[in-house]
Amino acid sequence: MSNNRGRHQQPRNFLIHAKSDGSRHYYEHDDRGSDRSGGGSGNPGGKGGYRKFRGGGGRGGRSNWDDERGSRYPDGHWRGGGGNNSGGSGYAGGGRRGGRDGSGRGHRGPQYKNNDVEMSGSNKNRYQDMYKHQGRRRDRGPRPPNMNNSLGWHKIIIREASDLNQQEVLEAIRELVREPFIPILYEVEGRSLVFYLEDNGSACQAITEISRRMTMPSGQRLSIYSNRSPPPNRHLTPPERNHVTQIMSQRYSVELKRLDLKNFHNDPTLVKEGIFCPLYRLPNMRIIMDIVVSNVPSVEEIDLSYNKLHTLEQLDRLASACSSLVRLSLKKNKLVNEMSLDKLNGLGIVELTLEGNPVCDKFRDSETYISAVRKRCPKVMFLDGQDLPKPIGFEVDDEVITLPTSIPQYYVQSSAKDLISVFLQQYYQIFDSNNRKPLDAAYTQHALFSLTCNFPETGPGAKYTGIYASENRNLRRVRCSDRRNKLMVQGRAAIASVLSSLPHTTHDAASFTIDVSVVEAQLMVAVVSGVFRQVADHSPPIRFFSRSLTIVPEGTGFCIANEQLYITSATVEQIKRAFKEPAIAPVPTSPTAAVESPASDTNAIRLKQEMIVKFTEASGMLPQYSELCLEGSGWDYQKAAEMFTKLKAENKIPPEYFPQNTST
Amino acid sequence: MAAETDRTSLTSACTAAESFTKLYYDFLDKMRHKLSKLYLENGKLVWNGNAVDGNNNIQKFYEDLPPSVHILNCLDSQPVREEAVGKQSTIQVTTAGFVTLKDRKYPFHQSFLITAKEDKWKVVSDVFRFQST
Repeated sequence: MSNNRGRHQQPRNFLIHAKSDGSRHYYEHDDRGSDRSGGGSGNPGGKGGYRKFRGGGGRGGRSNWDDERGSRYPDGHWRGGGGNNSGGSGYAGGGRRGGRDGSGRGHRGPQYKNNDVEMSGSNKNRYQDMYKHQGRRRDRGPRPPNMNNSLGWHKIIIREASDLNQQEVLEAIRELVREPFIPILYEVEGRSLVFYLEDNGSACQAITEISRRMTMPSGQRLSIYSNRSPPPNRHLTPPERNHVTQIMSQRYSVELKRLDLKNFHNDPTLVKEGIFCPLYRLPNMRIIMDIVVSNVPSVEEIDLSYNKLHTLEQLDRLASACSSLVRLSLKKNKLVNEMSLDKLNGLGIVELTLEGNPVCDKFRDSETYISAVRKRCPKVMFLDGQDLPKPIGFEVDDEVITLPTSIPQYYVQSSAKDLISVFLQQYYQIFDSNNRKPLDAAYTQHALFSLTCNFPETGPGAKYTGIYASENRNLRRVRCSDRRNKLMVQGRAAIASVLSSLPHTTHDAASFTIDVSVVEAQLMVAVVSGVFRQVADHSPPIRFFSRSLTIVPEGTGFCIANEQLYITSATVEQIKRAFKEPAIAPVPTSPTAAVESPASDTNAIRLKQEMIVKFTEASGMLPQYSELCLEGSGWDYQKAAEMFTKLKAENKIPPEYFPQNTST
Repeated sequence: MAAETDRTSLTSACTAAESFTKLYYDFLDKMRHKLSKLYLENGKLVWNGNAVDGNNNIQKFYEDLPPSVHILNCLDSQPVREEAVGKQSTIQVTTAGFVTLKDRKYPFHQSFLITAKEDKWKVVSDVFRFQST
């Protein structure tokens, strides 16, 4: 078998050690499988086999066929062939080895020692071949003997060294080995110290060569072995994740809005901390994108070069989350398939770098390449550092129609603001109280009131709606003229009584929108909307209301002449945001200072009542205790609120002061 | 003191509101270039808190919005009381429903003050809001 030959040829090849560790060899990070390729030498007497197949091209020479493929896939990616190619890959692989070495006798023989077992392997072999020859095709000069094995992952095992100081051992190795190397995941494993090397066969060889020659201060001689290995696979722990976040923030330039993730897994700090976070592992990419999306959504540039990405999975998330992203570098990754670019769909990338990916060489010419990129990212103007001609489109393409942003309040005259807010404040104080009768004072003698509502037929929003439905004057449902007239509530007493018949409510003042579109001497038009909680026995539903009011001056104050109340269920978004404002907020103006209050003879008593209601609502206490509290502070709302807050903080308010069945 | 609202004006307010909304939402969804005809020359639109003055500006504002489809669920109309508008025939119309703008559907409510000028109904004030903003 070829391995024997190989061993004779390369007695010092580090791969010999592999024999003692078992039979497996791995190349690069290939998540698709760890079966090693049988390669060409799986054919007993592989050399002859390939020679036959290749028509005797043979020893020392590269065939035309080989050359052609080499130029089409300059980095040695051999994936191009379809399924029918895989059967022949054994021969082709053998041929390549032979041709390159000029000797025809693979010094890599040892690697194939298990071919008779593994030759049964599958199409995966092709991929293994592909990775094996990574980056070699252009380099035609004589190469150092271990070059074949320089790529991929190696695991270095330092035997019986678990008791030694890790750093000392590492320093000792560094002293003896000239080749620079980055030990990844340097840690204790059993009784050994292990670390991984990536794409660094020469250092791997150099390190194994000092086996048994390196003496520690204790006099112990260290045996060092190495293995081919799949890339280590670790999940990030939460502390490691935090650390990665920190590193990312260091790599983020606030001024340029640029996130540098180049060669991320070899970040010096990460390596030092023993954190291995390669982006070609999807869980890591997911974490990284989580961090990007939640921390720097305004990022404009991301550099993902040299990360060995073979897929752009997760990048599609940036389309919606990071709309300002315009520059993306994917240079020197391992994107092979044109379809993998689909993940760039919808990104507004203007500057894209894809060079150094196998996929770039898959296109017939640069036009097809550019159009394939533009199909996904129509805005790309710079591709691999080249200016692209501007595509010809339609003027409307550039038009981004955005809706004007909402403004919660509008007053045609700013003077209306105080007036309306005081009016509403007083109105809702009574409306949310147990007694709505006093509201009659807020309407003119023959005022009109009508209610419309629209509720879903099922779900929580459909509960407790019957009470509104009986008053519903929706003209799209109520067709009968008599019925329509009947549902028009006329006169202040009638209105107050209808309002009193409606369920008890608590309004969320923070949710209110107010539009005052007309202010004239004789009338004011206001539309108020917001959410309220309908106080029911169980799980009070949150509802939405809109009141359209025509307000006229009357006496010293203002009264409602026309009112249309529309009620519907709140949207999910509204329910989420409802009643999030703090419960106890000092009232800005004491009710006694109100300029225009609805005319009433029993003003003082009403004000006290309002205060009780308001205080009850704010404190959550029962009304009688709210009254007690207000009385104790001489009907000074501010003072009472302070007292309540203080006592509450000291936990001195008996629990029976609060309603026992409250659901809030 | 003004008298109670009579049945005739209640009924005519309903009829006017029904014809108005049919026309208005048809124009808004399909013929925005005609919208200005429905507003008073110095009519006012408050769209989610953004004020637009004058019928031509209102038409321009709506023309700049993405194409829309309004679906009306609720309609109500009242004659505005004499204490507010005197003898000038005026109605207050409220609508609610869903509007699809730019592939997104929003629940909305809208409130109009419409007055009779000569023999035509014209919008004095139009307040539009999405239910949640």
